[in-house]
Amino acid sequence: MSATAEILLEALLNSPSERIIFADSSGTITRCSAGFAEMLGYKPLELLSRSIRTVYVGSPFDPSRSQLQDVSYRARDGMTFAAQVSGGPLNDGPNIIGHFERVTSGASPLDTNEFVNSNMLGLLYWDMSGRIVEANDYLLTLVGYTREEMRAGKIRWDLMTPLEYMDVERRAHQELAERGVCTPFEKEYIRKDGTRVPILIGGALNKTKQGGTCFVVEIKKAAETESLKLAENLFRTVFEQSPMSIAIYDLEGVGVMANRAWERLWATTRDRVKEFNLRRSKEMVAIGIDGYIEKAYGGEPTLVPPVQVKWPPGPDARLSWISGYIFPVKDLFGNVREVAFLTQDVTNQIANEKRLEEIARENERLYNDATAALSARDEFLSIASHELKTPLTSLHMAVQILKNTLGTSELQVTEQQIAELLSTCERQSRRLATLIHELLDLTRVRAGRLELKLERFDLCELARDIVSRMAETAGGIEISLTAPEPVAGNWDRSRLEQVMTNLLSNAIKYGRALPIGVSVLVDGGRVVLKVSDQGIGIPENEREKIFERFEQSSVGRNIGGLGLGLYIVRKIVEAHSGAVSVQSVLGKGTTFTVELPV
Amino acid sequence: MSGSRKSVLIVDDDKEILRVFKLALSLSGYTVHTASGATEALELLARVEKPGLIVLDLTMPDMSGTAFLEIKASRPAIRDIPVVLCSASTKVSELPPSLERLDKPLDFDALLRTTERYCG
Repeated sequence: MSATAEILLEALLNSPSERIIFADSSGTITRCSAGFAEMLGYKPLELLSRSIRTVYVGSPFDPSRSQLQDVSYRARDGMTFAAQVSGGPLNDGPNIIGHFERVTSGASPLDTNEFVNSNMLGLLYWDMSGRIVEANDYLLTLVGYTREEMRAGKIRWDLMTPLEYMDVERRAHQELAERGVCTPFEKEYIRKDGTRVPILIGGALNKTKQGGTCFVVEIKKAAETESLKLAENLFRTVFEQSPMSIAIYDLEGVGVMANRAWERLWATTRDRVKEFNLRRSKEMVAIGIDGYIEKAYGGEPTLVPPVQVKWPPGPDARLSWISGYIFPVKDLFGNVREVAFLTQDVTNQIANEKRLEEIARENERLYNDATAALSARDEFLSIASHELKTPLTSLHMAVQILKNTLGTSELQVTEQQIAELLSTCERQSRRLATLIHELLDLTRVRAGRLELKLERFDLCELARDIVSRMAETAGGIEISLTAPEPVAGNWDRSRLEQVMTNLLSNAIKYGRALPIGVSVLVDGGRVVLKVSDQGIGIPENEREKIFERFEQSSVGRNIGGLGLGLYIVRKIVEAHSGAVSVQSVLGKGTTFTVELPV
Repeated sequence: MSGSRKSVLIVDDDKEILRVFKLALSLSGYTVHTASGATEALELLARVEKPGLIVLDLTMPDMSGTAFLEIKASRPAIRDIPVVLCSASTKVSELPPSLERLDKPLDFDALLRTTERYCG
């Protein structure tokens, strides 16, 4: 070889774009361009002295044939490159001393590497023995093997194909054999862990026909994934925004997740739910809802009625009413996987219900009171008319007798009889006037128009006057007065006279003709007037009522009177900023006490 | 006035009424007994000659007119004596329906006519 030729060859071999290799007649690589070595992942000198077969998959280049040949190179890392190669024998005179070969097209290691390493889809190279000899990370991850396992020949496409896909697989190989490519089709691979992954696979046979290249894409059912995402999002939102506290427990009873309302209800953070075991909790037994919980774990949704819970632990504990709904979460086959427990604080609700009940009771009471007041009024009208008619009857009869004696000799009356009839008339008209006064007082008192004419006077003196006046008409009933010292104050004289008269006439009416005591004393800045009898007494349950309008003690129901006296007494005393009360022993007697400010 | 006339018993707790009614009937020639309560009336009926009529008030402190009527009905000796109710009560439901009534206040004539029918 001339020096010039030597220089040219050297330049050729150093060019990174030239992929050229020389071998001797025994098939040993003698020279190699940088571009060729780099294509297969070697350094240029590394390939020297190696067998040419090191860089081949299948049959090597045949220098005896001069046309372009298709070959498959094997890179250092095992990857196969298909390429078109030209070349020819090298002669030393008549003797063939070797050959050269030059890659003219294909086998662009840079392009495919980038694509392979992009891991946008799975790529694999397989051979007829059933092995996957090369694959990118995407594919390895998809089927769950390591690169080392692949190198060791442990990934076999035939064994990764489930039996039910064998027919499809056979058809694909047939297509490959006939057309060199196969239309992409769907199948499944069995992962190393035994699970399956649905894939779309397609590929081409190598030019050598000793194996092929396949791409693999995992099939994610796109629409399904989208709706699952929506459902998941919907669930998350509802779960999180629910005003009801929600916690989910696994089959053991251990908390899995809880929402914000749960955090609020139990004043804690949601990760604490994992520390809680619903099925082992003693509290659940203590508040009596363990049965409901087990019912849910048995597959039956259950309403949990309100229970009282003391929470949180410690000095801040308060009693709350909690109610809820507990239900199983089942899988597609109806097996309980988890249990969801919805709870809410119904303390206010229960308080409201109780308040409504109270209002209803109060309404009933008011209605009963109103009804009672109405019937008391009817009763009063009946009593009033009876009381008015009684004096009217004798008055009317007396007047008619007198009238019948005039100008007739049939009725012979004495003068004394006439005088008696006339005094009957007088008494009865006075009695009527008193009754009418009482009625008028009632009207005034009811309308709140009880006007007081205040003047300064001695209550003892008034008491003395009244006691002596009433003793005269009391038919011999003894009335004693205790009034040791004058008690002066500003009061309405005629109204207080009415008070004393009413109390005294009651004492006379109900006192069984036994002695009556009246006292007027000063006690701690207040004047205390007492009227005591030893009469029939007032039953305890009627002692308050007697001061009401139209009320009469049942004991004295038939004695007569309007039943207004004590009501008017109370109103007059109250108008004086005083108070009236009663002490009584049934069958022993009654004491009315009036207290007035001085 | 004829002495053959039967006597009348007036029962009422109001003394004024007893006095005036007694005078009214006495002036018309009747013998009049009065009782200021039902108990007194029953005692009186046990003592005196059977009256021709009882004029009975209903509302009395010791015993109601109705209770008096029940006792009277249980005593054969006085069971047959006619009774006229003389009441100021407006409660019709409390009145024995079969009895004749003189509602208070009443006229002198009404008292006389009624008494005459029974005792005349």
